[in-house]
Amino acid sequence: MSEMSEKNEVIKGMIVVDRKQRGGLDVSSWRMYVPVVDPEKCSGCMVCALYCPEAAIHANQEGKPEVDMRFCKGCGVCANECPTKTLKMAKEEE
Amino acid sequence: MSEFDVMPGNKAVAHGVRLARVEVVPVFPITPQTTIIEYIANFVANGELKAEYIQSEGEHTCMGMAVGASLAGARTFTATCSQGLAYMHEVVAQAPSYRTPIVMAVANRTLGWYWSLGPDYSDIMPELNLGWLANFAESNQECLDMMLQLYRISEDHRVLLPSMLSLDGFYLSYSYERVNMPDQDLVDKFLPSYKAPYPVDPTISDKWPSAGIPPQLHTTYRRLFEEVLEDSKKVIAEVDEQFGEMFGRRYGGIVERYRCEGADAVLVTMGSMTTAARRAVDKLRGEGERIGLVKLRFMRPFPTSQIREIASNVKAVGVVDRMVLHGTGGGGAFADVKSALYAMDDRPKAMNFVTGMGGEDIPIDDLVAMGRKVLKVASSGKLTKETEFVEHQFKPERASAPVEGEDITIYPGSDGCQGCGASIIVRHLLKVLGPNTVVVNPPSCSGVNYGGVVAVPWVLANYAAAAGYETGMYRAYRIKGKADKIYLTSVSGDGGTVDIGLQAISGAAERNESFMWLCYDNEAYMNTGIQRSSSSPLYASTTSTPAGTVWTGKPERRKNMVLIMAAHRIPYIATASLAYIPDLERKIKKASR
Repeated sequence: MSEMSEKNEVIKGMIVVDRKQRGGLDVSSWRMYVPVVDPEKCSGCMVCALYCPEAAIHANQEGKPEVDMRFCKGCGVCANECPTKTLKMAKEEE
Repeated sequence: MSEFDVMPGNKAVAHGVRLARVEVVPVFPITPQTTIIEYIANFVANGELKAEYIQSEGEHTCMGMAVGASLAGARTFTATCSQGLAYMHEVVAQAPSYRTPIVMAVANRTLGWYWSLGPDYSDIMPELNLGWLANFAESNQECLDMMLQLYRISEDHRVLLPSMLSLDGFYLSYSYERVNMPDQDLVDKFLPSYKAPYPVDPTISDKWPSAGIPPQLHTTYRRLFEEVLEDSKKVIAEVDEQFGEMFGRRYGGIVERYRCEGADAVLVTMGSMTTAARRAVDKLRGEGERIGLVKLRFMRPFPTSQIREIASNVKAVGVVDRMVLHGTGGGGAFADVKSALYAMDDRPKAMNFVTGMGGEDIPIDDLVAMGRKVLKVASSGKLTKETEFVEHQFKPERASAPVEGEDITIYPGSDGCQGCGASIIVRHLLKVLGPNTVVVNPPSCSGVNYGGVVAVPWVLANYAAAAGYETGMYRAYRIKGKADKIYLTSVSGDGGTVDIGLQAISGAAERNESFMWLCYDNEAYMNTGIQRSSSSPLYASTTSTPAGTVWTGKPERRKNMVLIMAAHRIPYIATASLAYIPDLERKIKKASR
């Protein structure tokens, strides 16, 4: 929303988007379930990251999936796609 | 006593359509009107209304269907708002000259140049001066009752003109209120079936309406139209009176006066804001202030003589406008009220408040403050500022979350629903195409949800013109020598591709314009809530083709868009599924070459 502040306007009344000021959208409050990875059994195929609709999953240093919880909505697509079923959804703790 | 129910305004309109025994209902979905046509679909699907329900591929055609049906002698209803109303504008302008008494519900929504789903009257404003009657409802009960009244008024041979019923999106369309349900037998007595004086039907009539006259007669016929609209004021009053006698509810005809007795000043409002204005006037009256309220029930025909009569008893008039006539410095209702006042020898001061644009609430406190300002002008006789824009502070609810990385084309997180498939497609599209990509996006969920998290230009385009936007951009890049440096693609749903967008896409394909068109085919209009598109498969039960006692889902097979595009002999076309992402990415890459 930073681009919509009146003081940023160079041309009066014109709304301009600055891609350098953009970032992710924190959606952690949407979540009711949370993905949990079993690092022992996970093969590190990263199919979960490929299918994550929010691009919230990345490989950590061990090549295993790590979820950026700011961006996870808890949709469960990752758990559904996990070929080894080592990524599972668990009820989010309050 | 008649039955009552608690329902949103859109359902009240749909019940009005059912009770009026409308015969032809052409539709096209658009928020916040869509549930009107969904409720009607349910009535037809379950045999509660016997009507031809036509799912058009865009509003321009939709209004064409309405004019055609009405010309052929059927009682016709349609509904739209905002961009849809603007898109059908040309045909809306045609309807009055054919004297087609169509009734159209307009669930008001901002007309995009700044996009909003919320209501203001920027959508209906350009349509007001075309020869339609325009009524603004304040409550859901009024929506239902006016559906019946408007058919009576429109089909009266002294009028025989189309009418718009304007109901504020969200404030009425989706808000639940108690609504009394008139008895069908009584409605049938009040509203007999429509008899077109000259139906386009060679089996019964040798005469039909025409819109062609020589230029020498244009001025004459414009005058005649003005006389018909002036005469319609009598019909409006008559019908309201008769409705009151039969159903026990009167709305005051063309304008309603509220606590105007002995008032020094009046506020003038229209639509749903009137309810809050009543409470504001009550509060000020409670403090001993002499203020009243005038509700403009009809904007067309404009209640000129009533406004003059009211104005002759007050010292100041304050018009609350939910629309701006850009370039005039004020609102549309204000312009009309001012021009009505001008012919008076001794006229009150007139001031204007522009507020509630884009659907922002107009709270009672604001209206009280407006009332005080008008009262002050009335007592002092001095007016320093004619138009005031009532603005509010905006506090962003959330800040963007920082993300590290280079060449990011789309950031994580979005407003999309959990597990959204379009999100997966958009992310992989932009991953393949990279940062020098321009996305042109006809209205769809993706623009609402992903346009805000991308780091590439994302241009919201008008529904039927998205391929036009792309063509224009491509030609501009080509003449500037940039065509091979920028990837140009759409992100479009099936509505924007196989239905309303098809003409522009076909044109671009025929000219062999060099850009990509990505259609994520949901097999229905998902953004407005799962209405049938021409991409929906046979027997699909959607919200506009519900399976019921009469209907068995969508009766037609889907349009084969891939073959249609292949018939244009375009260089590359592919179908892909987000279930197979490497395949999807490979096809996007191939298309981009």
